[in-house]
Amino acid sequence: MNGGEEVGGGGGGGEDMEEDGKEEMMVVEARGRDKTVLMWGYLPGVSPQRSPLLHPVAVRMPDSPAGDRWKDVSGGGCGFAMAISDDMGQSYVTSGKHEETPEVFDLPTKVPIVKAAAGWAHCVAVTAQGEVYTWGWKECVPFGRNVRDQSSSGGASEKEERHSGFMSDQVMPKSQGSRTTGTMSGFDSRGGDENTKRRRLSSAKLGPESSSSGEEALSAPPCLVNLNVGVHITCVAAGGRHTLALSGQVWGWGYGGEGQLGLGTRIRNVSSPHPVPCIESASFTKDQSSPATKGKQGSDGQAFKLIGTCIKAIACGHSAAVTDTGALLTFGWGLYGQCGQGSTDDELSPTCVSSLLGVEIQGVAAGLWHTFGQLGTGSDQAETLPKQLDAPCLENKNAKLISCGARHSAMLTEDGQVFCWGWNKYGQLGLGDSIDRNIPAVVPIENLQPKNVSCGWWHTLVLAESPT
Amino acid sequence: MGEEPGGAAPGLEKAAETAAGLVDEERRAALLRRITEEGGFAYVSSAEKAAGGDLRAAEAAREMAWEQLHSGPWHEVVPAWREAYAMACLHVAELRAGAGERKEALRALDMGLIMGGPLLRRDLDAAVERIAAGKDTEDDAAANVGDCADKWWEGISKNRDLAEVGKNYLCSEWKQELITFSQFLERIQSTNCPANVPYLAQHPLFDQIRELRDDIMIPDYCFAGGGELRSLNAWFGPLGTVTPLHHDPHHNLFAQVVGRKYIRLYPASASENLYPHAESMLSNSSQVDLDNIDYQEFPKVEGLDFIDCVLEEGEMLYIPPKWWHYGLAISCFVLSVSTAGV
Repeated sequence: MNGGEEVGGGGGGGEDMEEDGKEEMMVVEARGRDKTVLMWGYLPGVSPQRSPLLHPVAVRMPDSPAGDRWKDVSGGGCGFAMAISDDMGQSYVTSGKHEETPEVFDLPTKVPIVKAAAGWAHCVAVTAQGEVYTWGWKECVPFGRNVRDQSSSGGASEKEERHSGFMSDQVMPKSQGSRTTGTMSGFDSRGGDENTKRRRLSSAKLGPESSSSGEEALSAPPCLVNLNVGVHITCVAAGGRHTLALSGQVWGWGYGGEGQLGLGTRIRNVSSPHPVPCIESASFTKDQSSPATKGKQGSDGQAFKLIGTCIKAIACGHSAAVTDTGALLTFGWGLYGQCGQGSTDDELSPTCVSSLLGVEIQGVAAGLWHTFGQLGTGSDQAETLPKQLDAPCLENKNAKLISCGARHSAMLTEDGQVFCWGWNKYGQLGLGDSIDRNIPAVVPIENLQPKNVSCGWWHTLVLAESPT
Repeated sequence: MGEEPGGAAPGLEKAAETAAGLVDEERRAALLRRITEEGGFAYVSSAEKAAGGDLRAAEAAREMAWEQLHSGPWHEVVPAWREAYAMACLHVAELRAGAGERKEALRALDMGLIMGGPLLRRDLDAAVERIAAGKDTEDDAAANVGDCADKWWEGISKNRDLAEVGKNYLCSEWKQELITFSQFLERIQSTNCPANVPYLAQHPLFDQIRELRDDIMIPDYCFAGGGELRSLNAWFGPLGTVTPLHHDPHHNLFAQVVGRKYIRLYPASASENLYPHAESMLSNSSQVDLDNIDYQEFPKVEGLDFIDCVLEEGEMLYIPPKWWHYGLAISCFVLSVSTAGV
């Protein structure tokens, strides 16, 4: 799922300079003080002996001479967790194969990773240069450039070529698989547990013929996502089968059958990044106007004042985006009221949650369904309109960050407490038991100050540092 | 399905002693491969551990497949995930039964029958038969009686059914729950709050429990139009159970089996006076609560012509496509069977 979204922070993800500056500060800070990653919950697919972690447990880096140098936590998907380390900004993946011991995941770039996110079975990472890499479940990985080509071929022309790709109702053609074989070896030896399973599956259950022809088709190695020249991504979010990337405007690719790509259609697969018309369609949808009146609407500017001019935060599950003026836009599947529009219809285009206009939204996170007690409202009812959580334990607490897993949620407060609520069958809430909670409960974390929280599919990660 | 048999040999001896024995290796490998292509890496890994006897992994695989069945609209669910769900249910059932937890095992199999795909249908049926055969002695009496009613009772009570709870599906308190048939009866008896009445509605009971289907005779004239049967559903609820005013796209034969039901029909042409819900999912349902009509809000309903009747046991009503219908149970237990076709 998507990583924690900053609620109280300055936002401004659109400005590259600011983002870079912030990055540097974090590095300096990290050198001064060790950061710890805590994990609880369950990574399904692990060894038989392993039971869910019901309490926060520190995740240790393997053979790190200088101690644990964690930089950030990035949730993870079903069966793996993801965090970013300080050394070269490498991404570490903990997986069933390695139990709680993470293993470095090599990306074909020397540029540090600044953000990462995971969907159900795919990962996506942003470099300090604003480039995006994605890997894992093939359906979610746009047929990007073979990373081995990177050194030999000029980037610009290839990017041009990629962008003429447009939308396609087809998934990535099979031939792409063989083209990327060159990078598979690196992925195989280092990669996430996908490969282990794949290999085990193919060796045990499939004949040699089918495994050799099918293997590359099953999991994609890291691919550089081709974006228009000059597009600098600062943040990514991943849903079950789609991905959003933020550059001030929003780009989307992957599956869009319920409108989660916000393109106004139920297009089943978009194989290259497409601009999601957030500001435009949100302002027009609000006034229920036809496309014919667009020009007029744009010129009077009234709608823009409310909606804002760029996007500063994104989330996937269904899809959501927050504008610079704090308006919340939602799109995608709505059967359980996820879009907050007062209905259970799907939203095919970014649509402003008008009941929240007037509240300046800082950040947003989105889960799998977020109904049935995952909402923290104290009841098991689905809500089709946004509702403020009013549990007594939240009195005098200010939210700083929020994050959503498949069926649970977590929040970091400004005073450094972590609250969790929702599904707890696998200890996702870190409360020492496996009893579901329909109101937020504080997670006991001793002697550490939580700095970030990010939910994976059935687990939760916290980045914390020792008190001064 | 239809994959070539490739390297199936290593699984043979293992199959005899573990849960994997329920599903032959070839189909199993083909299904796991499809699931891998669907990104279900963690499922495949868990399913393999489950086949090796790991109950926790079996439960986790079932939970993962269940999530896949619910993380998008039903029509978008990839069929392989329904098969994967059935496979996980088989694993769970086998391991539970092995641990002596027969009830849990049967419940898992029923979930597989309700939500799973057709690929492992026979394996599920066989497992139900086998695990149910080891049942406690007090249940045996019922099984030996050839009488239809007892067969129904037995068939239903050893299985689990999907029931709706709440006055009707348009109420805010309405929800769907999976409960056992005995729980269902207990709730009917214990509840005096209409918001909590259980109702087994529109349930494909006869797909779930094949023995019961043998007792339903589809009249030949159902096929007179050359079309095929679309659904065969059971409706079972206590006095006061309501099916709110709605319409369906198919021809519908509604047979009253036990108890009496009040039925009201409005012709399809009355649609604009019946205030259908604006939401697409409920657009075949009227906003008008016929039990308590708000004429201020819905003035056009007043004076609207309708046809009504009380359907007695053994009677059958034909409801044309698009005709609005409403049903109210007016005796203490009501069982109806509807068949719909094109």
